[in-house]
Amino acid sequence: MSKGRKSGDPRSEATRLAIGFIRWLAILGGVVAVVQFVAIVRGRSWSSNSADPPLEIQYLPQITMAQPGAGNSMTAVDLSWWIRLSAALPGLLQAVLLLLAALLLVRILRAIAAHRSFGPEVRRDLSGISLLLILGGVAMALLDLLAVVLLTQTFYPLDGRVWERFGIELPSVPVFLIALGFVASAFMYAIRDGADLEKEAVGVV
Amino acid sequence: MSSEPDHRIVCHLDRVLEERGVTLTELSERTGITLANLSILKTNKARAIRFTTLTAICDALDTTPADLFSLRIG
Repeated sequence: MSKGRKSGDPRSEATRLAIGFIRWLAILGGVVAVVQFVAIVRGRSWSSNSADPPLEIQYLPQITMAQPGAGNSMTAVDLSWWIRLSAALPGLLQAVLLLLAALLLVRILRAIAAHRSFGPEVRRDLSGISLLLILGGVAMALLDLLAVVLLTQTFYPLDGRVWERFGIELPSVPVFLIALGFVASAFMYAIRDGADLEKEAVGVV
Repeated sequence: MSSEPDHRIVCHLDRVLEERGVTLTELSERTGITLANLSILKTNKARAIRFTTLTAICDALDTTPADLFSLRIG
């Protein structure tokens, strides 16, 4: 039995605010991620009053430090485009995952505001979020591993004259994202139990 | 909700209301039970009734559960 949405309902107001916040956060995060992705793939940062300057190697996400030796002017532009792309992909994928998860979350919040908390659409969207974050998190880890391997092959063994100090991160696993995926999965099962209870309650006066 | 009940309990709320000259709306006001729920009960669409609901109806109509419900044979 579904209930209609009441205007002025505190639940609706809270949902409207939450959806607005999530939307703006997703848009802002998406824009930042795209700008960062393009900068890394181009190997250049942005400049308003001159030619776009080349990106320093240390700004690649997988590089922890890159202090060039005297006379070393190597920048990201000097790397092959596919190495720059591999370095940029994990960040872009994270942004895409979070954007898609945000879209599904907005749909879930709308259903909850409409008093359809245990509806099939909520279970389906929670399942979607779970799969996105778990599989997407694993994909991010694999992409980061690829980037680290390629960068290691490019820079090592190090020449002390070229780099005074240099470091590459270990491949990172987005544990938080993957854990969130499992949390969403647990919620999905709880919602399913709630739906069963709701069905039992139909016709009880 | 399926149209065929899976029980043989019959609710005689309509008869009891008529005997006491009380409308469903009045009963709703007296008991605080929603009109929708009372209508579900009256039309034999209810699958279960809470004891609190049953007590409230019996008090409001000065009746007993035995007057309100019977078991259909077969």
